[in-house]
Amino acid sequence: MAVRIVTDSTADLPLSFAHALGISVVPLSVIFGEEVFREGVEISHDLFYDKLVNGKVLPTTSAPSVGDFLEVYEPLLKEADEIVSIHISSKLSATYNNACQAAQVLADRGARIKVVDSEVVSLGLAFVTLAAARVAREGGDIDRVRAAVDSTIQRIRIYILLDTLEYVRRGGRIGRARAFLGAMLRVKPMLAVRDGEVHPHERVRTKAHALDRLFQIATSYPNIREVAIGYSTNPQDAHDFQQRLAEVMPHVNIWTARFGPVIGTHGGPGVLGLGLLEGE
Amino acid sequence: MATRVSVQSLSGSELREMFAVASAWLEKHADSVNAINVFPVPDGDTGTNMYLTMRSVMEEAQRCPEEGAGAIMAAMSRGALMGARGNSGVIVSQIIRGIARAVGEAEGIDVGTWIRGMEEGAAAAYKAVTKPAEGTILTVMREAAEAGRQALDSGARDIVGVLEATVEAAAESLERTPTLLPVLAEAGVVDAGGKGLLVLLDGMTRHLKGEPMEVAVGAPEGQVGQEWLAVTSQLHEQEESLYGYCTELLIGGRELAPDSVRNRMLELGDSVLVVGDERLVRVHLHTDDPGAALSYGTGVGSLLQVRVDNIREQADRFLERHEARVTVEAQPEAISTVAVAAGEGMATVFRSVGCTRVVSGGPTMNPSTRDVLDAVEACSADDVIVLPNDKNIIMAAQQAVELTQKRLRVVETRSIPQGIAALLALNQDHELEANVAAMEEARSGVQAVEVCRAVRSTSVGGVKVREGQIIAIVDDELKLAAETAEEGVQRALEGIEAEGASLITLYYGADTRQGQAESLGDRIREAFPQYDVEVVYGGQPHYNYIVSVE
Repeated sequence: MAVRIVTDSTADLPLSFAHALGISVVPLSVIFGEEVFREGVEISHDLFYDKLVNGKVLPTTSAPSVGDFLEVYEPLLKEADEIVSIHISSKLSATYNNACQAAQVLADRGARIKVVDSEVVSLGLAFVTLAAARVAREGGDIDRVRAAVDSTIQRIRIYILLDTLEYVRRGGRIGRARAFLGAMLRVKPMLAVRDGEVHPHERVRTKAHALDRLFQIATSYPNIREVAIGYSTNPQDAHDFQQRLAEVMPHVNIWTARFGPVIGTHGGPGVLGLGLLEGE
Repeated sequence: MATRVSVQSLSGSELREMFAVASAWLEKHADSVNAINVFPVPDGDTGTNMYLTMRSVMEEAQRCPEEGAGAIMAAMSRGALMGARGNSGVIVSQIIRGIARAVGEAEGIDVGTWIRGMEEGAAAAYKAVTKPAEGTILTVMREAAEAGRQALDSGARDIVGVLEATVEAAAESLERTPTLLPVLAEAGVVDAGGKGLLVLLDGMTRHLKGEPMEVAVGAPEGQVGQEWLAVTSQLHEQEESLYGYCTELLIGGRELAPDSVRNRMLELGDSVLVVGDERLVRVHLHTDDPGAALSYGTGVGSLLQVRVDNIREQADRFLERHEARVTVEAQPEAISTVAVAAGEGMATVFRSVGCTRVVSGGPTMNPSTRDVLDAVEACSADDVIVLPNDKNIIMAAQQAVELTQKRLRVVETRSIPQGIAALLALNQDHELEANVAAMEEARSGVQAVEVCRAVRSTSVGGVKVREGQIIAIVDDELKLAAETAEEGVQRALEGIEAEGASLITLYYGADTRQGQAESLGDRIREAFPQYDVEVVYGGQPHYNYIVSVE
């Protein structure tokens, strides 16, 4: 084995993909008040959303420790020459920094670990990680993996449809989406993620129209390579949307993924995300 | 021909006088024009719109320091363009501009020029309307101009004679409008805009013939009173006055001349509105010297009512109240938006979803081109999108496009619900044209129900309506009459085919209690479980409910 790929749980990568491509996932922790859970390991998504919606405390997340990374890297190095470790935007989390420190510790012992700041999260991070893993599986070396990562980051388009602004408001991490607050009417805000920042895109009043708009957006790109549909508590919406897209782009790989705590905390229940990967 | 008068040419001051008399003639007949609007809704305002347009025309004419026909017509054309309200007002402004163009810079105007101007104006008006319909003011104007052309061709050179021919043709054309437009025939009326135009032409002709017109005896106080409040409150909401005091007088007397009162008031300030007759004149103006207006009033008659308000203080208080409410921090915007809406609640709703400026107005009181233009100029961005939110405001808004340096686009929203849907589709990161396309698409996905009280008995589209009954209008079509507003809303919703719609929003009006609206909301939730129902205060006048289905 030449190169092994590592990412973190904020990639919201479906488990089956991780298994199939041999991707190792380092979990972040989600904290409700005094309680700390390792994401996907000590707390299921269902329990997380239940605590989010019905609990009083707003959860926070915390990055894996340097030790957590060492625990993952060390066994991998026994079977691989090199590791490419791809992580959530360093603007959003200390994960990248901690991975770098772990890599430094091991580099002193001669290990070759390349840590990458993807500058994205969730579906975007998943696209990047998958691209890297595919190149690695075909025997690509660390430079080809890096090239695939850089190329993929340029081609990601992310749109997020919120059911409510309540969780964005509570979380306070909204940047320019602030313009959407204060509406006297119930609206479904659509956000676009560009350069690691959340931008207000447009608003519609009903879910039906929002899904129509999302569909129009998805089909407006002429050269789509791959589509990811994320959801928080609404798998049916995601699967219906997947079916609808599959009819007009039968040759495109369209998959669904459930948002974990990072998107879930700020988006709340009923979120639908659209990740588009354009061709080169 | 009965007349002995022969006039070959008119000077600028003669033109101004002729237009002034015609405006007064229209003012006198405004209510009878209002009364024949097809829809029995409280926006029976064709006459009012045309008169207010003419008022702006005459204000510019009075300000013009020159006496040449060209200069006066140019001033009147400017006044018409800026002051145009409602579709019929816009069309009147096209005629006046046509005549102004034909006159050019000449000192006088002869009949050939006049008719050429009418023809050009008619052609421009047809072009200004997206889908010109026959049996409207357009037909009346075109046929009047054609009759004038025939008279010219048969050798007539006397302005009075040719004008008389246009009046006769306009009258005949007006009588034919119900045969061209079935909706008029059913309602048993002729076209209101066409009638207004006939009144104007008739007023001019009578004046030139020296006929006694008793214009000063027209417009009894009660008739104008109804519109008075609406007009003055709009002056306040829309015009940022240069002057400090809003002054209103009611002058009683024996031989009062509203025109000279108006001229004096124009010297004292702006936002001048003067209506009345020889016995009673009502005055509204903004001035820094209310004392001068008062002593003028006591000079010509006796003051029956006086009211002086400090406008700046009102404006400050208004700002304080509103600034406090703004929770969203202002952000620089690439594209500004201007929406027309009536009612404080509705204005707040529009601002809350990001509208830059709200022009007060709506079906009941159409804003003028200038009102729209002022709001556009006050926006920070150079790209501006206007949402007229009423079919009768679209043309006046479009006239603003050529009057501004900004890139201005009008998205043709025909109701408040369409306006809100369009506004929500705005994306500051996209180009102006892309946004216009997205907003046009968004507005077309919304259906609107408007419910109000019928102002007279009529029949429209097979629906018989008694005065005072509640009527429901669905997307510009009168659908049914009901006894209560709530019944009207519910039955209108039953008749709507809205495939894929999932949300009903009830905007309740100024005269509807919140409890009433909430319980209607509950009944709708029960009757239409497939919809989410939202109840929002709109505060709009006259309309008990405006409902969107999307």
